[in-house]
Amino acid sequence: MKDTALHPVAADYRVEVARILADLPASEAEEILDDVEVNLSEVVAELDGAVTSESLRARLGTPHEYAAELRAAAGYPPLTRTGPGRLSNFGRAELLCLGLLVTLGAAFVTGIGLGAAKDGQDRWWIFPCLLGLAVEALNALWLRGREPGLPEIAALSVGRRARALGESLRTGRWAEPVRFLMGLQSAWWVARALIVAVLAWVVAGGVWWPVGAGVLALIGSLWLGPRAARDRRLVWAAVPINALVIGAGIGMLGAGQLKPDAGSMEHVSYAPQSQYPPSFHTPEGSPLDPGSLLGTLDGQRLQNIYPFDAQGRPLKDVLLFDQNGKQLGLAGADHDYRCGPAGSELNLVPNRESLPFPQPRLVVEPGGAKCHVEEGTAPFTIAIPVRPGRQPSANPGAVPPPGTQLPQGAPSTAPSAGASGAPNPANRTTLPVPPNSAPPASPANPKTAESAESATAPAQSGS
Amino acid sequence: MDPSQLLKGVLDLAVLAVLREEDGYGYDVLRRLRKAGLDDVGDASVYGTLRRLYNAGLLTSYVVASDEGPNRKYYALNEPGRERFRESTDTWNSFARTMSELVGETR
Repeated sequence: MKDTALHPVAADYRVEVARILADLPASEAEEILDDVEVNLSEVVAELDGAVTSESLRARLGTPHEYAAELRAAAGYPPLTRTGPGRLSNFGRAELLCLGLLVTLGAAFVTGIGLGAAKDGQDRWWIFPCLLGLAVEALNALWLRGREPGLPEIAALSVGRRARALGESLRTGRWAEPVRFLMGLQSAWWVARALIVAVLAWVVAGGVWWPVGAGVLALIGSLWLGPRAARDRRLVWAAVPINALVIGAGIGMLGAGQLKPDAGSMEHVSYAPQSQYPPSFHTPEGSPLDPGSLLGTLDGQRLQNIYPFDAQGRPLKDVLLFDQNGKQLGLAGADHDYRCGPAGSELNLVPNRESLPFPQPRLVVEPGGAKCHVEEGTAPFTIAIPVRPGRQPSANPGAVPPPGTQLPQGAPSTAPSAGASGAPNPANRTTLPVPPNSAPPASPANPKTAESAESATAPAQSGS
Repeated sequence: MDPSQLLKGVLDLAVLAVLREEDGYGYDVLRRLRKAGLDDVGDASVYGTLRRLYNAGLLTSYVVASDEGPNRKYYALNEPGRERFRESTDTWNSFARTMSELVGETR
């Protein structure tokens, strides 16, 4: 029976020896290590089961002594401490592992940033990207001219443990699923090219970018995949690339870039019907100052502002300014402009804080997963106090919408008085209220009272 | 006197001598050297010496599949190797004679 696998203790010994021969030309080191391997397997056979690190060392000396003897007898340059010998190799190997970790993390974060960026606005991923590229360049410098098997890495305790873990996975009780997963490796080589294509679609859109990027990625991926298994130096390229791709996938999913299927969520797209561009700026051309965003009113988050004129006609596309001429907006306005299962919200109304009032609002339908955007019309109507000499009105108070108004800040039902959908700005309506309905509701709902106040304030000051 | 120190100078000749009789792989050469009485010869020294002689063009090598482990790399003397063996033998003989006389005289 042919059993070419070296006893684990002997394999560790071989790795130690290989590390001390790492400065030799790769072909020569390979030849001599083949001999060492044969020697070790003969000694293992000779020890007949009693193979321990100690028994091996008693027979052959320490790996260092063995390698030194080998070098002397083979006429290789003697091992020097300052040369590419034991100590400097050791430091480099550890730095290389550290470099791999850094590039892995940087690539992963870059991938998330790339995948989650919308409309190319968020560019923070450039920083981890640059860091990863810089470290990767250092890695490449150190890897240049190394042996493909990277014995100095394999000799690190990390490398040994990783190999032992891999060995136990391949032969242990999980051998079957592990083998199955290993068989999926080539599927992953295709899948990661696919993710790159999707990423190109998200970032650049169109057809040719994704197709071109996908084809190039597929070629590169199929080239790299099998080679990285043979030439361990390519691990320093494959691992960051995989991390980048996986990060991009997570980023795209997390940011809801891939439109979920219709079953899990209803899509709502909102196209502003007003003439204002999606990215609204103040008249001076600069974005709104965060300091001029209105936050709360009486401890409640201010969710919208519904302007009416003195005749009670709802106004549309109103801009508000403070005493310094700064445009006012709504803080935290994105809250109720997201919809969908947790983690996959779509920001349906971009730049809401700078849109004119009343702003479009998101109506969450019962069940929570579906929602739609309603144009910025008031979900209620008001009654205006009558000035002397004007048309008589029975009640100076506001008309409270009946029932439970404004659940979660977004009214789901329109008040009965204004019919569903609230009055259209086009057909201006002033609705005097029947006197009997107003008084009971008004104190019951502070929010109603609030809107009544704001609606009545100008009228009172004018009278 | 430490025999391993003496061995260093003559290990090339010892290995050539072993291979002159019959081709051998590393461990086989080691065993034959020990059997001949060179107990102190180290594994790594033999493998290293074989490698150096091969690199110097004095040996040829070929691989033979083994039933018990990794493939065995057999080494064989070629013509330059045999030539080197003759030279080294002459050198050794004259050296040994000189040393014997020297040691015999002073005794």
